Amino acid sequence: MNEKFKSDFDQIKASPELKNQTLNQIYRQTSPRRRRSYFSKAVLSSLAIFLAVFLSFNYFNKAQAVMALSLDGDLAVEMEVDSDNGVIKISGYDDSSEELINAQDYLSANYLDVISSLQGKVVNPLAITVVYFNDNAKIDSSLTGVTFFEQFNYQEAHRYNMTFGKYQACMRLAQLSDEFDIEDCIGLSYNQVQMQIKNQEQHQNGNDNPNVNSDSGDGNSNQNAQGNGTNSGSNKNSNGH
Amino acid sequence: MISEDVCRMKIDQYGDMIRKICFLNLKNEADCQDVFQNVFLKFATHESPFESLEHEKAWLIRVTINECKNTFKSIFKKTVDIDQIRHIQSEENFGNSDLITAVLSLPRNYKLAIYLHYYEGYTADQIGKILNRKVNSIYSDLKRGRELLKKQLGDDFNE
Repeated sequence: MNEKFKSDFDQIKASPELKNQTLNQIYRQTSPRRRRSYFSKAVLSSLAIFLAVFLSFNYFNKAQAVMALSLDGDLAVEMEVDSDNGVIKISGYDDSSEELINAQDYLSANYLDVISSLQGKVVNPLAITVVYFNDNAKIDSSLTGVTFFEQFNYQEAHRYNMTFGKYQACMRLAQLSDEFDIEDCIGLSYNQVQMQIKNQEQHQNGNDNPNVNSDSGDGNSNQNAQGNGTNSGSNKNSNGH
Repeated sequence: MISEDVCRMKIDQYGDMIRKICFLNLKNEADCQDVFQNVFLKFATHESPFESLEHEKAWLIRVTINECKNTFKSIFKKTVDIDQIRHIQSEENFGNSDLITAVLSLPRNYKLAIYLHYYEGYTADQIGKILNRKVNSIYSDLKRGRELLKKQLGDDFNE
């Protein structure tokens, strides 16, 4: 049987091509040149990994917002700014604002340029509100009339789907009048909220100086009431109490 | 590291044996070539010297079987097209040997034991050491392998 096995299995042989290929393979994989190339590959890979880690660290570091700005008035826009003053996020809180910011790519642009670009597209000056997320963040000194917002209320403003600039104004209005709370402001525009604040402030000033107001107010209302009866209601309102 | 000349010599010396073991264990030509090359690459980079030629040969058989197992177990080779099996077997010029066909149809352990015993001339004890298995298991593999071969080959099979 062994002979039969030998004669049959002897027909299975490794071809000379396979032997040569194997020799070439061994030569390629074990030659010193190959080993050197492994070494340089290892060095290059390490460098590439180091660079990738370094660059991604910088990228993520930059991509982190250090402050946010709310632009309110004719628009309702909010943007987050990184340490290089680049805009990393911009969102509109009403249809016209959204349309405006979608029409142009503001991402990565300097926030001052974005403000001036947006300001150029509306009639009235935009009210700017700023919130800092980082101690080193600082708004450019060229921007005037900026109001500042506390960071802890930042998320709360977004819960009501309004800019934090408008949220701050709503908070002010709610402080001034018991008749208003934040929910009441949702349907109002920023300009309307400011108008209400102005009214309430005038209203309070009237309360704070009752003598002055009552003297002059009463005189006026009397005069008006005598002169023109139709205005008596409005004068009552404006003079108030 | 073994020199190129020694490698060439060993490939000539053991190449056919490695090819036969690959043929018994694997189902396609590409895998056979891969295993063949890997075995000799391992041989070429083998650091510690062999005690004897017998040790060297047994080492090569062991490494070949392990490489075949690894290839077989690879998740990428779980399924093999039936045409590929036919292809490798028709490519082999073994003269339509009934014996080889019958050995190929045996379970893997049986055909290895049968090949190593009848072709390479190893005893059950030696096969046990090479395959890292108990001698009694090798005896039973040989017995069952022979029985299966008898069934298939009938009177042609003569122990």
